[in-house]
Amino acid sequence: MIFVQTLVYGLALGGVIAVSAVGLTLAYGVTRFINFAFGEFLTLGAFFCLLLAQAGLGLAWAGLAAAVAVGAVGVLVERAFYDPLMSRGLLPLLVTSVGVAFVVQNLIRIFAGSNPVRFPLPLMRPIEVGGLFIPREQLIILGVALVTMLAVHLLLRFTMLGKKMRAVADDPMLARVAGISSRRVLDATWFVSAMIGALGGILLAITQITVAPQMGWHFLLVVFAAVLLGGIGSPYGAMIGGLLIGLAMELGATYVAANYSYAFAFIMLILVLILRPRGLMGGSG
Amino acid sequence: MSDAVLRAGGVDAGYGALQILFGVDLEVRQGEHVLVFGPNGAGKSTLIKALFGLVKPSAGHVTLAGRDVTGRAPEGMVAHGMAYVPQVSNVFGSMTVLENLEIGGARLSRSRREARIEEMVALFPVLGDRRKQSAGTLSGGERQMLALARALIPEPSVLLLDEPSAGVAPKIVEEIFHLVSGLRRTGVSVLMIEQNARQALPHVDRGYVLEGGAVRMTDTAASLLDNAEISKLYLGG
Ligand SMILES: Nc1ncnc2c1ncn2[C@@H]1O[C@H](COP(=O)(O)OP(=O)(O)O)[C@@H](O)[C@H]1O
Ligand SMILES: [Mg+2]
Repeated sequence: MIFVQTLVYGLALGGVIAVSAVGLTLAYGVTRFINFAFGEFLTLGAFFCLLLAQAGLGLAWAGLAAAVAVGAVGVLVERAFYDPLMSRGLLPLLVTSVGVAFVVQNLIRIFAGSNPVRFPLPLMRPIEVGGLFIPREQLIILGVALVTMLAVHLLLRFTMLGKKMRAVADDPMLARVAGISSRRVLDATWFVSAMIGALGGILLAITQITVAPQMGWHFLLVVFAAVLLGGIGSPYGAMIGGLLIGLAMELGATYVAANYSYAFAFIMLILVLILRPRGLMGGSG
Repeated sequence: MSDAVLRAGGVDAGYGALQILFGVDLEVRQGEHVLVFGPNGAGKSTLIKALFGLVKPSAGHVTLAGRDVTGRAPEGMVAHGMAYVPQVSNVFGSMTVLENLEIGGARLSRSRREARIEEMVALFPVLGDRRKQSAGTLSGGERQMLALARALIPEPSVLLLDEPSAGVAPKIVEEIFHLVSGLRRTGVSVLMIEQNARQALPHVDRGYVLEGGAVRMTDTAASLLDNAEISKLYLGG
């Protein structure tokens, strides 16, 4: 009984992590740098969604609109802060992205205050299956996460944009030689990465019931764990890594120690990396 | 010559303060196949990169079909009808053979792209058998064919090839040269670099000897093969 419920919670949390991890790893694959301000895409997504919902939009529409808006923010951040530094090596980019993260966090504080705000979820009756109560929220989260991952899969495998993104991620120089404008691919990648991050943030707000200016920043650690577990730069690895980390966190919290769910995420990560240093789906290159 | 598709005039180029090319003059005429050869480190690859815009010439001009394209970015060169196959890492190893070809046709309409892919598969049947296979698993020869096909998809007017025999099993090298030579039917002009000049020269029309970043000599392929001094110095005796 408890096991099945824990499994549902674990899969839902895993879905949240997986979606976020896919967004982060997509941008990494194309740009080769870890965007430490990625967590702020999550936070912004949750706050934009909250704002739009408070303004009277239905939650689903508010979520979609928020995701698109954060996608645009992602392109702006890239153009304003990251692109000018692309040729200067990794360190300036990493430091700048940490700076962007703090600036965004504080902007949100100025507008929304520092205290957590309740996320306006309508009351939903749990679904009863054979004496088991499964919260609808968890199923919705899992559903949205699966649809998002399917959409990413279709984008990467079946659209020209997705193939260009993979080509640039594989070999940026050869992509230029083949006539691919890396400028446009970069813009599209940042848009998609930030948009997916925003969706992850909205799902996170649903699991946590509240939103707070540092929610994304704190969650970033778990997202990193999923990205590394799956093999950095691999979207499919990030999906699997996210689900495994979510399951490990919920199972550990239920059966071992309730206050240490983050620790289980990292125990899982360390175990996998000992066996496969490049992660589950990491290539050899 | 007014019928030059590609022309370099007095091109200087290098890497930062290190100058590699010194006043290189060269031309490729409509439909012509040209070989550039010379010792290792002579600047052959640098020359191709300067023509394609991967290295910015510090002096001189590059013209493509009469249009000055000096220092344009590679994306622009592709749009104007130039194609380039690098010596190494010239396929997307994590993508399938078919996807590699699709990337080559990224700028074409879907129907045109699909038609061009079918034409390439007809030209290189081995690629057709391996459509769904990851390009990273291809043999050296198959990779070169895929790289060639990828570059040919947009129907370039000039094809730049950097050592197409590199990493290819010796018995396949002749096949690659034959394939390139067979491209004459399509009308594409070719500028090819080869270490293995003795084997490559019989397949081309003209050659340039590049040494120390400058053109030492140019002549028809037949005359270069007959030239005792060239033979001794650059063709291994
Ligand atoms: N990216 C680079 N940066 C600095 N020097 C380079 C670079 N690429 C090539 N060189 C140098 O330029 C010279 C010519 O190289 P290259 O054009 O590759 O010669 P080739 O193709 O004729 O063997 C060599 O001395 C090489 O070391
Ligand atoms: Mg070379």
